[in-house]
Amino acid sequence: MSEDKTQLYDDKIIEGYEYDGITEYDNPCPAWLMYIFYFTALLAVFLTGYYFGSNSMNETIEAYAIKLKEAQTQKETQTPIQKPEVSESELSALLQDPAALAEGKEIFGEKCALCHGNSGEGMIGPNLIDNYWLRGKGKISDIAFTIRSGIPDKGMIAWEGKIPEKQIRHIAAYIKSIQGTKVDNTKEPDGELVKE
Amino acid sequence: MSSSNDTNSGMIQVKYNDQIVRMFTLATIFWATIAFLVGIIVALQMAIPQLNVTGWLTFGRLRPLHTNAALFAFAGNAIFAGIYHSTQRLLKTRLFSDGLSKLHFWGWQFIIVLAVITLPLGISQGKEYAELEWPIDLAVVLIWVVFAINFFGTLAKRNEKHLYISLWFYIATIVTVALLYIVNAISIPISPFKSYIVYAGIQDALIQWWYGHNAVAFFLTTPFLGLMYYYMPKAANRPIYSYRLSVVHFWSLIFLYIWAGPHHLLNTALPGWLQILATVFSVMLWAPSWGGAVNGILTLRGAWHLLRTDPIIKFFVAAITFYAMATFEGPLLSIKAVNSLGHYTDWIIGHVHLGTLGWNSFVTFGMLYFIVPKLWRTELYSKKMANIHLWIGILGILFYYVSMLAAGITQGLMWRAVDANGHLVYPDFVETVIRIIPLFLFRALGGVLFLAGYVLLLYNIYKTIKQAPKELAEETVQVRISSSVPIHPEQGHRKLEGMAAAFTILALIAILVGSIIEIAPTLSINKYVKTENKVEPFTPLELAGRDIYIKEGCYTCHSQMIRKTHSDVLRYGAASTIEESMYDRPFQWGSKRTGPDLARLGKKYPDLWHYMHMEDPRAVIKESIMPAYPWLITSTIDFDSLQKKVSLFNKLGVPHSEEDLSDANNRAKEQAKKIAEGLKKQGVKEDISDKKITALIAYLQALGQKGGE
Repeated sequence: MSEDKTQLYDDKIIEGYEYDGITEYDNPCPAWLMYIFYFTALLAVFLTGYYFGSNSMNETIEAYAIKLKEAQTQKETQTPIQKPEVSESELSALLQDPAALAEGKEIFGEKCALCHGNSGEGMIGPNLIDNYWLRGKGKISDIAFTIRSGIPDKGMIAWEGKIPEKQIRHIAAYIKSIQGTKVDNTKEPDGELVKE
Repeated sequence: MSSSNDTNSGMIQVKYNDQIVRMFTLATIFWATIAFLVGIIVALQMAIPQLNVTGWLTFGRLRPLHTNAALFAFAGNAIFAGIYHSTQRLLKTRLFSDGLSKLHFWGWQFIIVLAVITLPLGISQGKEYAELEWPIDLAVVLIWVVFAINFFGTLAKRNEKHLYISLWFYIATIVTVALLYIVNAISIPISPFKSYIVYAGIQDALIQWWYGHNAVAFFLTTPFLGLMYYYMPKAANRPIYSYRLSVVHFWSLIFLYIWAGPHHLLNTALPGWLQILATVFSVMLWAPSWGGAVNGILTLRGAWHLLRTDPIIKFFVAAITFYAMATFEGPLLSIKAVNSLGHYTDWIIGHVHLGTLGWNSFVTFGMLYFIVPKLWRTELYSKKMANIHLWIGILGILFYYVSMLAAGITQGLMWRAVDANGHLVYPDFVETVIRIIPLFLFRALGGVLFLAGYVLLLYNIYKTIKQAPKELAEETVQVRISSSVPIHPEQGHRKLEGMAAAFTILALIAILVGSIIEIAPTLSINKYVKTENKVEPFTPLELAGRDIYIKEGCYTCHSQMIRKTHSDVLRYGAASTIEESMYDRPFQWGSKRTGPDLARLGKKYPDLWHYMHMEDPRAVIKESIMPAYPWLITSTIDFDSLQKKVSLFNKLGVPHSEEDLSDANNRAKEQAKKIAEGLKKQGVKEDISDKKITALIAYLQALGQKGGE
């Protein structure tokens, strides 16, 4: 071993106790560590008092209830997903636009086909090629609305913000364009029959 | 006999049992390799789901293997090696019994082998770090008792009056682990491979985390502190910095630690008073935890130069530093507000590995580099290689920790992000997963670095042992039998250190106080259950599905506990109540959300969605990282055991209907047939009325549908 540098400090070895060569210094607990402990003990008293003394065992639950209410009021006061100012006739014009329909079809294949089938025949989600609709009357604006807001309860995502509005309209137009097509394995009708 | 009297000089000769230490040392080195390797596999599986190749190699089954191997095989063997090595020397006596030592060694290795076989097969109790089924549990308890007899027998025949601080930690470890393990494992078997825990719902949650947290405390902290207290001053050849600090931090640590378990259940349905107790005691743990770190580091006073020259000291100092980081982060994460962000995310995984990789592994590596040359009577083959191991290891740990911290906070913030309209900004769970996949890869890289460093240890140790002499004589020392008359009458703690039995009893009392105060009230669960919230039990088929859920380890990635936080409620629905899980054996609240919470999954998606999702998750969610479970579609439901299960649950107080009780088997078949027919209509070609997938779908569709909100 190198030379003993104990002299540098005031350390005093406790005499008479030695374990397999290990000895111990008679140093006190470092003050700063004790201060940390006192601090945490005070914090503990404060937290306990805060919890039990606030005349409400459910402080945190109440705080959460308030926060939740805030979030929900925001939800309610906000007007339901705003349909951008666009008329049905304007949307119908898309049916004559092969580029728009092609783009709609492409995105449909990427995002929608997983649940509605490659040709809209339905699978997990309802089929999109008959005249039965669960929501809306099958107008392009209705379809676009459903794409935007989704049906979270049934597992359909709200696509607003994830797909640009223009493309949402193209998908809606594409879905409209496949109305009445016949596909094998079409899922049975679901929802309300809409007669045009 | 190992000792012989030399009456003339008052000296006796003591021969240490080094053979058993060598055996545990080699076992440590071997099992560490397995634990680390499986760790890297599961880390990669999280980024690349295609790596979940067959049933027994999926994440849900390998993750329990990783945790059990790291905990019981690697850390366990390291503890035994270190305890047996240091205890003999601190007490100047040979181990109590060579036979018990051998039984301990082979018994423990046998248990590990059983775990390595059963866990990938999905034979599991579904409780974290306590997955082993009841026959293995019994073996663990038996071998632990053998260990305890061997240890306390050694204490009884010691030639050193006083117990050094390392031994205090060993005593606390042995007593507490026994208590934790036994209480948490009490279950009723229905077959050699299946049993059900006696506690249900919140009781099980509380006892599980009392166990789980204190597995960290008394399996990964106290024994390793004991090892540090022996090997650090031995390697540095310096006195312990402060005896008084040793006393104060030992007792405060073991007394406070046991209370902190419920901090794993903050913001859940757990009663508020338990949550605040957990927070308060966790916060107070900060200084007592650091006591060990301070005493370890300051022991180097006057020998700082060793930090430049001695790789063993470097490993210990790095280990203590990581320990100090983790034990600061722990109290921080126990504050409810911080916890609401970190809980269920990878931050917790990072936190745990700061401890296991940084503290446990590095103490073990330092110890191995120290004792292997001594045990094999030679010099370490290469100091330089040990130094490189150190730095690669540190780099690996930092990669691991930083990537998990970033992943956890990123995902935690994404989960809670709410826009001005009160909508979740990322309602689609998978979006929050995609964002952190690069970090999963970084983490795996950290693991690879850590393992690469370890491979250097393997080579270094191999070469060291190879250069050892053929005949390894056992170390023999001359021990003066103490005159037993102290220089001055002893008082206080010094006196206690001479009384092993009294010390052990006091340590037991210290850990019992918190345990009893927290657990006893929930044993009369009725106090917390509102009877007006009537909950329907699961049907027999749903129970069969629940067993599949447990077998596949779904709980390793999915929670079933919607916390009382507004972001949880917005995402998953009303907060979970105690009543909803009151019949669940074991509880499945979970601890990690690699996938979304499932507490209110029922009826959210059609059956077909679940069918396709289990067959190939990426067929319905393109970017999903969930493993595929195609075998559920081909393997059959175990209908025959259902009757037994339902009767057992009924005996334990679950109000199953008369029909379910009298004819569980057929009732399940009827329900399965209905589901299968429905799916057939929707285009599923196979007949799945007796297949596992059907039971699982029944269970998943029942989640959150039984009342109790």
